[in-house]
Amino acid sequence: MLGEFEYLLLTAAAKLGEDAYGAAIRQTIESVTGRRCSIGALYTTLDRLEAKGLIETWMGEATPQRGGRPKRMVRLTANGIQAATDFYGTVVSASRGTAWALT
Amino acid sequence: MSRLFRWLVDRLSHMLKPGEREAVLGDLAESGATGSRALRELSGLIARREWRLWLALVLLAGQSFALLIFVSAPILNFDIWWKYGVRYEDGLSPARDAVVLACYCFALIFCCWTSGFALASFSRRQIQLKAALFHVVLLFCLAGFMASSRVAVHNAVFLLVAVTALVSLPSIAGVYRGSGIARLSTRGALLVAAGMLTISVLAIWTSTWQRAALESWSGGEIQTRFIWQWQALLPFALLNWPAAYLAASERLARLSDGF
Repeated sequence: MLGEFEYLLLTAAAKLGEDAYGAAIRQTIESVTGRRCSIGALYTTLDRLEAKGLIETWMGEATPQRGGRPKRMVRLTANGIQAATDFYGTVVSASRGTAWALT
Repeated sequence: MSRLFRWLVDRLSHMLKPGEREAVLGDLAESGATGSRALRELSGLIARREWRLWLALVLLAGQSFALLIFVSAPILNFDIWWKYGVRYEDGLSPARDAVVLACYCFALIFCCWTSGFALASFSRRQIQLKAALFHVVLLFCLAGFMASSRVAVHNAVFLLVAVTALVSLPSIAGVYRGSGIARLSTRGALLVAAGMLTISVLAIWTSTWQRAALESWSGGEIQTRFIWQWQALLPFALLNWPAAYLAASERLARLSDGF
């Protein structure tokens, strides 16, 4: 079972698709949750998800706005998609019948 | 970002793996983080990444400090005897006093070497910086101890020389050795285990002399039979944790290799 932040990270990476990398994922999570996402939380969670085989990461291109430094690109694996789907299903079924659940 | 923050961020970022360092610095540049925020973000990541190391640093400094407190009394007594020919009367013969001092020094050298080795084996990045931090914490503790126990300046200098010989040199040698090899060999692990056992036996053996002297001095008022109970072994088990870690990690590594 995924943790809340792990799910948020997988969802952000899935939304961003080919443009998923550290800073973009962080920005997406911050805009969705309205909370600060620290680089420490982001990178340690990326490592954990990669160790679980839920994502793949590799070093991408360098851009001038990054001071010529490369990006850490992120892509969901089939296991990652399955884990996120399971988590979402669990949340939806657990929420069914509650006052805040969408009908 | 000011030059100071840029320098601090750059120094700190070397504690990350090279690839990750580039990605993190790039993310910080892209997000337009201010100097203080970049430093905070980077410190947070390093603290999460290497929490074992920071915990080990604090524990090792505390451990070395505790041992130094034990050692400082016989060392200062030795200093007084060396300079003024006056021997502090502690109920032990001069030969036994010398054996106690030698045991303490051996324990300190052994613990500092294994601590340095364990520290280097946790993480090899920026090991000089970590070793420097270890010494800063240790010297800070020692300065507090010397101030609170009102150690005279000439004795403080002697103690500082002793710290260099008994703590700094062995721990630097341990760090140097630990940085050079991935893990202890079986022979090395056996030697470390033998060292742990020797220290524990020597400590208990010599403490029986001191306790006997205490009993004799108090005219039997102070009874010291508890020495053979398990509590007596606990401090040595705690002091020997880096050595135990090294011996255990060698064994675990061999088990995972299928040996």
